[in-house]
Amino acid sequence: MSSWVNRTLLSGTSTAANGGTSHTCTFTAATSGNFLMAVMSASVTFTTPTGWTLLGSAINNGVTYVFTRTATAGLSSFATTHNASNYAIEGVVYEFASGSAATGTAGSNTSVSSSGSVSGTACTSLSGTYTRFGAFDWNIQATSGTASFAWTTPTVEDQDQLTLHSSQDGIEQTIAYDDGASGASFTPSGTVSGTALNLTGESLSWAATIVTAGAATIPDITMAPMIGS
Amino acid sequence: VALNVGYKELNQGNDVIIRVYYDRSWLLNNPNADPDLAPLIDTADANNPEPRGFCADITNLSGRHAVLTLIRNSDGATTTITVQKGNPVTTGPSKSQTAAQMAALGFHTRGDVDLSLTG
Repeated sequence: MSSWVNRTLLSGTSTAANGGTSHTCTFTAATSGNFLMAVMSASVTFTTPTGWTLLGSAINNGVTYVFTRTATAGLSSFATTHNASNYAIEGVVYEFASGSAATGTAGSNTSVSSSGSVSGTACTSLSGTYTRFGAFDWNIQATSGTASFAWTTPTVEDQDQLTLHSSQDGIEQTIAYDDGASGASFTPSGTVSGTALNLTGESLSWAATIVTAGAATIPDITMAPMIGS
Repeated sequence: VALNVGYKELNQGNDVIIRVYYDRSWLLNNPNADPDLAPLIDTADANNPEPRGFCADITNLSGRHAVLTLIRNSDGATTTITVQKGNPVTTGPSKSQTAAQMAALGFHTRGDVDLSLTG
């Protein structure tokens, strides 16, 4: 069972090429105090949305960013500006219960091969139990073709999406996670395949301690001695 | 045209920021060429986020532990350094580098160098 409260795969006007240099991304309205995480990729850069914090980013042929913030009541969108116009973007916004937070030190690199087995850079300085995340992206210059990814670490694929464009570069984004992970570090890895890839990609790895929504807190109960015992 | 923003960047929380600048005009003038052949440059381009005259511009605002690996794609050689505190870092093994200094290390073009950043 996934640990988020809500998950929004961005689509429609949130991600489509629109002729301009900005997008307003709309997601499921959040609960005040909850922890939001937006994982965004494209073949254009992003500004950090107002009120959000950049957890990590990798920029070369494509880009991947992770933005986080604490939600205000009903927060359901953010705006970001790009360095060029009319590019499609991809992304997922996760909402976790209040008290959840990023942990460890994110890893990133700009040297991910466009075929075969690939690895990112380790997320480090981890302790206890956490949810680990990995993301890869590849710039797509082709107007047709395929791309997909099979994750090794983390193991649960949540996103594997290819967006092509007739006149601008497209993007392949993939995201995976594992709840209940442990250990001081992890390195994202897997196998990329497809016919649309020809440039090196980017990777990010990061982690968060997640409070499970609705988890009951069991109070200490002092048992009275049983009569007659 | 591939993403041609003028630099490669790895960023940990706007605290540790590594950028390597290349000449974005090269691809604009050769839109069908290999983007990896764009020359590395010392940036003074006001459109870039840190036009401080370096090619490899290295920042660690807090001094937290960060490890940068430079990958030389011509032979796969790697150079791993601990990023010291600075904005930009100008002393020690992790000091920011000019394009001439990068060339001396075998990094001449955008495609010559890749970056990996961890903690």
